[in-house]
Amino acid sequence: MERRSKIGELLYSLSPVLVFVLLFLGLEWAIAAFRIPSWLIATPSATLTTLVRNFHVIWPNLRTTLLEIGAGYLAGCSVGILLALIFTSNKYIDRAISPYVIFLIVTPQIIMVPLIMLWLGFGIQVKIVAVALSCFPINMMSTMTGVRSVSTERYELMKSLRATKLQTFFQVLIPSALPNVFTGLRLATIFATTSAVGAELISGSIGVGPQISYYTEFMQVDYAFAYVYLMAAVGVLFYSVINFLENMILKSRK
Amino acid sequence: MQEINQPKIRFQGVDKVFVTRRQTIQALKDISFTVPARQIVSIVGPSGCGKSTIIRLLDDIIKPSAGDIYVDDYRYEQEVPKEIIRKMGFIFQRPNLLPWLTVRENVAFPQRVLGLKGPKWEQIVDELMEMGRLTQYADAKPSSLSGGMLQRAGVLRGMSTRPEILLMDEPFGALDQTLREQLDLETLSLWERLGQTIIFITHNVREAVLMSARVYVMATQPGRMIAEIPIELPYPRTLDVLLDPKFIAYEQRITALIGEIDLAQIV
Repeated sequence: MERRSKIGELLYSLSPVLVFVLLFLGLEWAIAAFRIPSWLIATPSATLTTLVRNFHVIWPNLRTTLLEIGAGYLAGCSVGILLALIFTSNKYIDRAISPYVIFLIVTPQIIMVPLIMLWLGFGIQVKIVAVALSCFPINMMSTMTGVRSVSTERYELMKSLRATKLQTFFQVLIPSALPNVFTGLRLATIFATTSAVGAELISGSIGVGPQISYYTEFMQVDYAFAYVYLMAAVGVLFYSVINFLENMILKSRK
Repeated sequence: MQEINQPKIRFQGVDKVFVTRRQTIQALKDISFTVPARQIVSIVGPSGCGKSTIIRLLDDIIKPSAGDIYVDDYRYEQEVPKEIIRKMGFIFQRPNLLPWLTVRENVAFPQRVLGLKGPKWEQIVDELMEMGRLTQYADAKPSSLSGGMLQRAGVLRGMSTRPEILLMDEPFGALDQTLREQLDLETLSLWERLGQTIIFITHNVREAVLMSARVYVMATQPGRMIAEIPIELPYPRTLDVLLDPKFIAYEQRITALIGEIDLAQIV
């Protein structure tokens, strides 16, 4: 009985991996069984072979995209959080700004890329600005929400102790808003990867986006798929890292 | 004994009017009362009668619209010096602990804000933790404590700077009766050792009589004081006092007073 339950436990913990393997094998089988031509969909095995064999060609492009994501994310998040803290520090500014934050979020920032190109040319800076632009509104909104949701009682506690503004800011406001700040940081990872590749597709020739589009034109879909796999991995990894940091830092409250 | 009769806190004709965009609310009208040093005074009344407003005025969280407030002969000005405010410990309706700090850090938090450091203050925290039977939870986070323990930690926090005055804003209102009375008695025994002047806000008549040397009864709209009832029951009090005929008489009298207010409003 005990052995069986152990197997069951193993099966339970490995089940997501199993699904992955099954999908992989299923796709491999389906492509062969339905005789889908290799210029339409690359088999997972062919994709992986290309990925490994030509990694020296793929890596510089991936590196460029990673750089855009990283730099843009850092800039966008810092600006977003900083602006949120400034705006919420005064109730009049807060009231004046709030309605427009949602505009910034629902407007796809990618539409700005042609204009950014006009201003900044064709270089990597265009993509960095595009990524930053897409990261900052969501960070601004969640940080503002975090600051506003600090309970009156916590402020009253500080007021009853005649705490200084700085004490209230660092010892109550920032830690209270932290869960919301992390929500913004986590969601921004999705915005960052999306707009990096999107901006690349509009402008420039190096990076993951243009490469996918280039290889697809020449029917070399195994290359295109290799980049797709990589970007999926980057997206998941990026999100997980931030999620991990969030859990590490907020864990101590549980 | 002379010290006991000296008023620690005095309200003289205090009004508080809240002005919002839609309406003007007279929250408090002509509030006058005194609290002698080292006494526990309760303020009871229906919700919305401005009980909590009184201690928020005293703690200078809000300003009065008219009248005078005195603490130790100091008359409140526009700017109340922090030395006066820091004589008071505020204990909130909800535990209001900071979830990222341990229980001990929460209890010691007011010391940290006031910059009170050193072994003397450490020892005060240790003693409070001991008295509140929370020593074994010192390093736990508030999220792992029960409601009663959280509230107890909130009370201890209010005492950690050794304030002369405690302002308790319905501190046990959210707890069930058994737990509430247990914490009432614990607060009483802490008070017997530390001798603070306490203003205790509650809507529970039984709790008010159990705790205090004097009960002020308030009515609503506008918030005003309608009765002052000295409770002549000796300290230290135990749960036995709940069965004392005098206690029951006090309880009934005050309940009746509040009931009359309620009836008057319905009619």
